Amino acid sequence: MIFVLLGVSLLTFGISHVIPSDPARQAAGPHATTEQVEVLKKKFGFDRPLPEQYWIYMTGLLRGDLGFSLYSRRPVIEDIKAYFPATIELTTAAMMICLLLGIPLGVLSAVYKDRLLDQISRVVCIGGVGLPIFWLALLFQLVLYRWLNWLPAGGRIAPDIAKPLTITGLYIIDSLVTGNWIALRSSSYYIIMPAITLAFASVAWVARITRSSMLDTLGQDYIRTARGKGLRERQVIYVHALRNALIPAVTMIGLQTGALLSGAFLVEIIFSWPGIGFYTINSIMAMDFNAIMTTTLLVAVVYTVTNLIVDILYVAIDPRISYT
Amino acid sequence: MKARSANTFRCLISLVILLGLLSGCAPAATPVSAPVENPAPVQTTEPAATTAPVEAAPTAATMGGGLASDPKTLIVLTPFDTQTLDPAVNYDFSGGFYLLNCYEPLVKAVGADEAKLTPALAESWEISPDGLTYTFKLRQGVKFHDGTPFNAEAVKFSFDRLLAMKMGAVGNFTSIDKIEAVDDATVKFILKAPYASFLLALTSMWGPVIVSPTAIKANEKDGDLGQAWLAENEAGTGPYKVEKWERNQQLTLTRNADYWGGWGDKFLEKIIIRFVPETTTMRLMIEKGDADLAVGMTSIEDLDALAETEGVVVEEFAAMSIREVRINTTKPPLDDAKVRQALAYSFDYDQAATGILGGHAIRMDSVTAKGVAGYFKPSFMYTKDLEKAKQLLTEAGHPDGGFSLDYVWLSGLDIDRQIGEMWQADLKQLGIDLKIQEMPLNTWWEAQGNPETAPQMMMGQWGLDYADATSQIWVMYYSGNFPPSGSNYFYYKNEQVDKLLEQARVETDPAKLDQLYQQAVEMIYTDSPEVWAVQTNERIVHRAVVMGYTYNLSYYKEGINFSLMYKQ
Repeated sequence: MIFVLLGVSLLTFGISHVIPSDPARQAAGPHATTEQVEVLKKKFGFDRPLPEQYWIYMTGLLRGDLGFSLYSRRPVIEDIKAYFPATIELTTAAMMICLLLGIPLGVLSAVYKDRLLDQISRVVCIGGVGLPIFWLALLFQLVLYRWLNWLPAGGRIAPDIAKPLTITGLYIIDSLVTGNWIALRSSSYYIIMPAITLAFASVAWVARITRSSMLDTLGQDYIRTARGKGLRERQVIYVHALRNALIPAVTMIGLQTGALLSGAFLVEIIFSWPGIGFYTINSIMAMDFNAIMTTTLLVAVVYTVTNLIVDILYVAIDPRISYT
Repeated sequence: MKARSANTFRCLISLVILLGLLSGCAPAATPVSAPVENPAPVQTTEPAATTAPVEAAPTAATMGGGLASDPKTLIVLTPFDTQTLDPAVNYDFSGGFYLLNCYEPLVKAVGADEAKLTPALAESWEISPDGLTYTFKLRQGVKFHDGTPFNAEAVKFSFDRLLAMKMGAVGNFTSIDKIEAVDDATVKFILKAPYASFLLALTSMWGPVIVSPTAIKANEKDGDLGQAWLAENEAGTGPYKVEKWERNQQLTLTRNADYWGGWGDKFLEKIIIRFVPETTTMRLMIEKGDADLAVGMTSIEDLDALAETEGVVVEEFAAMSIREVRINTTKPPLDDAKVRQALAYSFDYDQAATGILGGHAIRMDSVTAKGVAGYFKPSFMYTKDLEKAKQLLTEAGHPDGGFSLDYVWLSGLDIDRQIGEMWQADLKQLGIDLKIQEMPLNTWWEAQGNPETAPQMMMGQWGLDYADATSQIWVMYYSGNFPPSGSNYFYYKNEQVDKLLEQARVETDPAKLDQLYQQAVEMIYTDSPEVWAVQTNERIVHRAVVMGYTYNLSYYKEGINFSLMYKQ
């Protein structure tokens, strides 16, 4: 995992520095004097040789110093603290939808193969996989907000409601913990549409994989044996078949984390969700090296950790798998 | 069974596709759903006088929507947030609504077509005959939001702070030598050299506003002049105060009931500025009435559609921003003025303004925007005349063209690409091959830094810091201002122009000054180091119930004076 992260950091650093650019000049503004630009350059160490800049950044990382952001004029860690929890909240909500909707949908599609439910699920899945996420987002906004007035257009919480006390930065968790029911109700409302949009494609993938994996499993001999033994269908499906069918589904979920994180960037823009996505896009436009490095590494960390968890889950699900 | 299930599948897929197509057509075809005026506010919300959270039934309307029907609260939408609340640091061309509503300068510029100096925190002023000393008589009885009195000491403190920090727009104020607080009500600015635009510079949004010395001193840390604190807090004298700021989410302003300007019986109690990066979302919210005012919408279709919507008003004004094609005058054949003039005669100005920009721009007829100081009309005007262009090219030794030129446009500004494509077709007729190339802003900054790497031609935009284009003329056309320190992107040098501009810098007689600039503009226009294309309009959208919106040329769309507004 360390090697993956090192590789990612080198690659990101290399790419962002290879592109000819003058971020100090851009940060100072078009009407700034040379003096001002030089001051900024010195402050951010742009006048030092590249390997030294990389070294400074990496050693700073180890100390917990993520550098200073040219764009927002404050330490990157402050920006991360302000924006990352929002993305985590959105991605977690989407992940939950993915689990709670995707797996059951896949199971039921397999069990009721070729019936109406299966047909609907096929359409939904093709839609989820094929339709671009920003189009889906705009469609949901139009239908659910503009036409039906069921859900709000964007934001994390109603403008006139104070956000809950910041403990984790995730509004839903913070309001639960502090017993702030007004904030809980409001932030739950606001997260529904962005989370559904984000989860749509992942639900599709997970449902399809679960379905085909279940079909595979249900066709196995030992299932026929279980049925022959007279076990109730429910037991057959959930106790015997599902557990075996889950491995590919869990793998898919792990892989979907990457998709969810990158999809979050687009969803955040459309639903005005103040997360890391929008921040990263602005940083890239401004060539804010510290911010770009940090956010890329952050995403890489989340992705590798999630897949680590998936690997561990394998062992829990299937005792036959071990890493010794 | 298989056939039936396949049929069902096809039916469902068709349904989805139909829905998709319908949603594509829908926005234009949707009949007007919003009534002409907002219905009487549904009394499920408490009046916004209290700041306690609202106890209301959780319908989508109150979940962010109910506020728009509150007549004392204004919901403003804009795409980008600002990065700091410190007015001495802020130089962002976005999110700066608080700058003029929470802070005030000594003088303001007012007017939609032209800028007129108006007293703000200063009541009157005098300029010494040698043009070096400006004496201001300050308004009495003004208090900062923290309750401390406004006086000459505060003015001196604010400017000393601005000059010491050397950030933001400080470059506009380096002509100041020192500031003296003569007495509580009088302050003197002594300049290093006469500067005819000094008063206009003092009207700028960025920099010359007055902050409370008490607040800064109380929150200073390690000699940072209160920068860390003022980046996230506010200490001004204006009609509104910053209540809270959630970065990238919203900025809330509340009314300063003790404002020296006083209040009538119609005003706004609270301004909630929400940052909504997606222009379609802004449009949906305005249509639905969940927002009152939208600033910075970029989509021409969305704006046009909103202009047709009942209950919504789209206001349009000429702004101080221009689009111009910058020519690198060091690269042959562009070093020949005749070739540059030929280019100026080959550009279709009217098509750019009416066709590509949909009529939301006017063609330029000088080197600067209209309506600002420093605008002078030359004795002739470039128009699209391919005959004339060909003649000039022939005189320059290129009767059939026979060369290619690079045209760079900056990423994200698709309009510039379209303008390039239009021009490409016309230049082809002259035998010139226009190579259209996209470049990210940062890459261009780097390339622009020296005449070798600067592109042959590049479509740029220029916005003025305050309603005075003489600053533009100086930084762009004076030969001492080559990049990277200046903005003479064209590496243009004309000794006669240089002399005129140097004289103008120190001239104090307004009549003489006008003469000098008239001459300089005539020469620059003739030399054509640029092709001056269009002056763009700003469009603001608001619901019909929002009254009192006035556009101010000097402050663009960010300079909305909320204290003049109210809702019916």
